[in-house]
Amino acid sequence: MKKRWEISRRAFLGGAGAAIALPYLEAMVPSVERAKAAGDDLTRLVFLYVPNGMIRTHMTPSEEGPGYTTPAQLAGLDDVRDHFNILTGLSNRPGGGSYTYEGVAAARAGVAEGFRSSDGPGDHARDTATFLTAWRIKKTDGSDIENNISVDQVAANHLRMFTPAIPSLVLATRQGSYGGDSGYAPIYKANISWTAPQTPADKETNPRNVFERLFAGFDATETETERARRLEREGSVLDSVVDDIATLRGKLGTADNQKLDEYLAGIRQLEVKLAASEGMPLCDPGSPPPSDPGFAQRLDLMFDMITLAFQCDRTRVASLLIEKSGTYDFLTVGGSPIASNHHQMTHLEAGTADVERVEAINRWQIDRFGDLLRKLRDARQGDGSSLLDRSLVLFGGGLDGTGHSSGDPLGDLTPQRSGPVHRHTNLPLLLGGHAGGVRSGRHLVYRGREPLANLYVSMLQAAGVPVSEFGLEGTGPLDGLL
Amino acid sequence: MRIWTWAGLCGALSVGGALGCEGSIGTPEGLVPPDERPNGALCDGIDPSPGYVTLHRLNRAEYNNTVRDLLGDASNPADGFPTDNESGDGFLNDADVLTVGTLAVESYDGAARELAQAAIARPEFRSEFLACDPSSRSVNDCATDFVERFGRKAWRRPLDDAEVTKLVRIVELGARDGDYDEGIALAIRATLLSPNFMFRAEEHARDGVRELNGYELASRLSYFLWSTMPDDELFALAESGDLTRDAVLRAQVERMIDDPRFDAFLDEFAARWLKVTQLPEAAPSAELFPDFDEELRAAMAAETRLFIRHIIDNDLPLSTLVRADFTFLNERLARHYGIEGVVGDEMRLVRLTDTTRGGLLTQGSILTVTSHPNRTSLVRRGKYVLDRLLCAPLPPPPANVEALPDDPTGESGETLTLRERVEAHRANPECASCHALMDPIGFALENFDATGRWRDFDDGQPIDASGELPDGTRFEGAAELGEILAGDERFMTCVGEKLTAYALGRSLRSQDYCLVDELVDRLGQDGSLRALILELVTDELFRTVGEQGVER
Repeated sequence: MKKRWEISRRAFLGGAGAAIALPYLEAMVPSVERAKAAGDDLTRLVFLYVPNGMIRTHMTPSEEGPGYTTPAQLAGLDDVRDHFNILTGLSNRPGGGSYTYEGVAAARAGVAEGFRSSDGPGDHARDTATFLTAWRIKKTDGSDIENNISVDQVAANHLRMFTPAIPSLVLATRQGSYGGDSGYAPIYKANISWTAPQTPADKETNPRNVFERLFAGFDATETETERARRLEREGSVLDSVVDDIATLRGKLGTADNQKLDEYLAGIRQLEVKLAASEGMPLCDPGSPPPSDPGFAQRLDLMFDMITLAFQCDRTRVASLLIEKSGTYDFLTVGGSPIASNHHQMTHLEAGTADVERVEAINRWQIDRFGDLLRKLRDARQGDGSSLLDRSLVLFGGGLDGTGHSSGDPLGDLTPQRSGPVHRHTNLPLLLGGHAGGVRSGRHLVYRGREPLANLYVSMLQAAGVPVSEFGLEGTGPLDGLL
Repeated sequence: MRIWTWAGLCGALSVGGALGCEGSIGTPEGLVPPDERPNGALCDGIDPSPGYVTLHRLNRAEYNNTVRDLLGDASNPADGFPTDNESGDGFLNDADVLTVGTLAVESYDGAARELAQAAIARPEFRSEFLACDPSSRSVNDCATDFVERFGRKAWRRPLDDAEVTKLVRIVELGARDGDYDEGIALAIRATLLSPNFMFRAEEHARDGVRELNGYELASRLSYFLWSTMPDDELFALAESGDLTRDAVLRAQVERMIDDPRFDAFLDEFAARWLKVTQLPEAAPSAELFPDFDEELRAAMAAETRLFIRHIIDNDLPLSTLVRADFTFLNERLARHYGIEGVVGDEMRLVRLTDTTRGGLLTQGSILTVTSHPNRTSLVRRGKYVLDRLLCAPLPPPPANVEALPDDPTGESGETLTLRERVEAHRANPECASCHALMDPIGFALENFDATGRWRDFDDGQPIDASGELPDGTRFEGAAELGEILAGDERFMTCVGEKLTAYALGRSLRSQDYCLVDELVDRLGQDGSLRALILELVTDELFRTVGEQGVER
C-alpha cells in the first residue's frame, strides 16, 4: 500500500545506510523562539547502552579536567572532543544486587536506604535491567518480576506535554531472543527501559518501523474537510474499541483487568496521537530506510531515526539497547569478524588476546557514539543552532570491564586477569551534548562512590523535570557538570 | 517453571551443612535428585480445580496465523510488532508475560489498517463475506450480514445484538460518502483492533469450576495445536455443542495433529522447548569450523523437525525422542555426520546402522546450540539435559561463589590463575556437587564437536566419553546416556510438564504437578506424544476454568 510520505517532495535518507546526510529545512523544525516563550527549552535526552561493560584501561585519561591527553580508545572522537565529557568513578550499586528487599520497599515508600546483601550471580540481567532504573531487581525467573521506572521514561512522562503523540523512542538492535541469566527471567536482560515496576517499555528493533511510527499519517496536502472526515472515522474505530474493553472488563478477573488497562492505555495513546496530528510540524522526512539491514547498518539507521525524530520534534527522549548483555555476538562489527565471543572474552582469560579483542569491540562502540554526536551536531534547529546544544547523550554500560572491586577510579586500570568478575562500580560512561548548560570537553572524576543515579537527577533536571532524587541512591544532581 | 530450591535439591538432607546438589543425588533409579514437588501421597487431598489463566493476548506467531486464516493475508504483519517476552520454559505464549505496551497497540492499529484495506481487495475474501450487494439490498442489511459472519470468525464466538449494531453503524459511517467498501474496511479495523480479537477471553467461573463452552474449547484447541484460530469444522462443532463430548474431542485432536497447520506446534512448542529456535543465532567459529554454512544449518533444523514429526505421525513411544535407530538426513548433513549412501538435497528417513547416533542428543541442531562458538561445553550440555529433558534446572550457583563464565575444563583455560580458580571452584563442595550432575552428561557427548561432527580426538587427546554418576551408575557415550534417559520416568514427566505449560499458556503451579503425574501415569511406559496430547486435552485441567483470583 502506498504510504503518505512516499509522495512527499524529496528523498533524503536513501537506502545506503551509513553516513546519510540528514535534512535541514527551516520550516520543518520547531521555532526555538516560540518554544522558549512557552517555557520549553527543547531539551532532548538519549541513553545508549552497551553490553558486558567496557575495559576502561585505555579510555580513561590520567589527567582530569579539560586538558586531558586523548586516550587511545577515544582517538576516534577527537573531532567532537569539545562535545562530550568522560565520567569516571560513578557506580550503580543496586546493579550488584546489594540492597535488601526490605530496603527496596522502604525506598519505594520514600523511607531510608536499604542495607547490603547479595543476590549472587546474574550480573548480566542486572547490568541491563538496572542500568537506567538504578534499582534492585527482584530475583525471579517466574512472572513475578519487579524493577522500577527507568530514567528515560521519567523524562518521557514529563516531556510528553511537548510531544504527546510519541513520548519516547525505545530502541534495540537485537531481533533474536535474549535468554535468562542465573535465575533471572529473560525479560530483565531484554530491557533497559521500564514504564512501571512490572512493565518494560516495548522496543522497536527495525528502523523502518520507527520511521513509519514517526511519520505515518503525515500529509501536508490534506484539506480541512478531509481532515475532519479522517478524524471522525478514526475516532469511530477507537470509540468502538474502548467500548469493547469496557464490556469485557465486567466479565473478567482482576489480573485480566490489568491487561485490559494496559490495552486501554495504548488505545488512549492512539487518541492522543490522533488529536496531535493536527499540530504536527511541517517536516519532510524523506524516504523510509531499508527494512531489514544488518547489525551495523541497523545501528546507524537507528541513530538517523533519533536525529530525525528530534529534528522534526516528534519526540524528546530516546533509549537504545545496543546488543544483549552476556552476548556471544558482535561477530562482524564494522563488517569484519573481530570477535567470536564477546561475553566470554570479557572474562579476560590471561595469556590470550582477549583484552585486545574486547578493546577492539569497545573502540568500535565508542566510534559509533561519535557517529551519533556528529549527526546531532550537524543537525540544525530553526535558529541555526546545533541540535547537540540542546541534547544530552549518555553512552556506556553497567559493568566495569577492568574488574577491580573498588578503590581509586584512576588507580590500577590494568584489567584483572585472575578470573571472571563483573563489577557494577567505576562504570565506563561518556556524556555528550550541552543541554542544561553542561560544560563539555572534560574528564570528570568522582572519588566518593557517587551513584550513577545522581547523573540521572542532573539529566532530568536539565530537561526541566522537577526531581531531586532518583532510583535507590540518587539524592541530588551530580557535582561538576555545569 | 518450577524452581528447584536448595532445600528441594538437597531433599531431606540437613541444610545446616554445605548447600548444593551434594548428597541429594544417588537415587538408584535415575539421574535426578528427589525434590519437594508434590507427588504420591502429597498429592492426596490437593484441590483439583484448574485455576484461572490470565487473559491471553495473541502472540506474534498467533496473530500472523490468525489473519492468514481469517483474511487470507499471508503478509505476516506481526513480524513488525514488538517482540513477545519468553517464559522461563522458553515459550512465547505465557499469558502472564505477554504484556501490552502503547507501542504494541500502535503497531496493532497500523496492522489492522493495512489488513483491512488488503482484505476488501481480495476476491476470496469478497466471495466469503461480501456476497450481499448493497445496491440491491440496503446497506444496513448487507452490513448486518457481514458483521455477523465476519465477527463470529474474528472474535471466535457469535456476536451479541449490541455488538452487531455497533459495528453496523461503523460500516454506515464509513460508507456515508457512497463507498460501501470503505465502510467495510473501517469495520474490519474496529474488529481487529478490538480486545475481542487481540485477546482470548474466558469468562471466569462464578462459583468453583465451570466447563469451557464449545467456542472457548475450540480456541484453546486451535491455539494449542495450530497457533491459530479454529477452522470451520471446529466452529460448527462449537456451535452444536458436540465438541465438548469426549469422543468428538478426541477425533478432532487426531484430525488436527494430522493437519499441516500442526507445523506451528513443532515451531512454537517443540523447537522452543528444545532450543532449536536458537540455531539461527548460533555462530560456530568460521576459523575452526569452516564446514559450517547456511545449508548445513538449515539441514540441522530440518532434521530435528522431521524427526519429531515422524515420531508423532507414527505414534512412536516418547522415549524414541532420546533413543532412535533412524533420523532424517540429506547429503550435506549425512556427510557432516560421516554417514554414507545419502545422495541429494532432499531430507529423507535414514535407518542408522550403528549406535553412534540416534535421538535428539546426537543431532547437530542441539549439539550446536549447546556449544560455544569455538568449543564444546560440558556445562551447557549437562544443563540442557537437566533443564529441558528432565525438568530439573539446577539452582543458580550459590551467592558467594563467582559463576565461572563457561566450561571451566575447556582447553583454553591453560593458565595457572584460571586453573586455580577452576580448581577452587570444583574443590568447593557447593560447586562440586552440581558439576557432578552436569559434567558426566557433558562428557558422554564429547565425541560430538561444537557443530555435532563426530570426533575421536580433541586437541590431539583421545576422547574419553565415559562418565559416572554420583550414585555410581557408569555409562559411556551418547547411546548409553540416551538409554538412561529413555528409561527414566522423569523424562516422560518432564515432557508432560512442558506440554501442559504450553497448552495452558501459563507457568505450572505446584498442584499442577500432581495432575501431570496422573496424566503420565495413565499413559504408561510406552506412551506417545500423541497419546499425551489426547490425555491432556480431554483432562479437566484443559477443559475447565476456575474462579477469578484463584490461582493454584
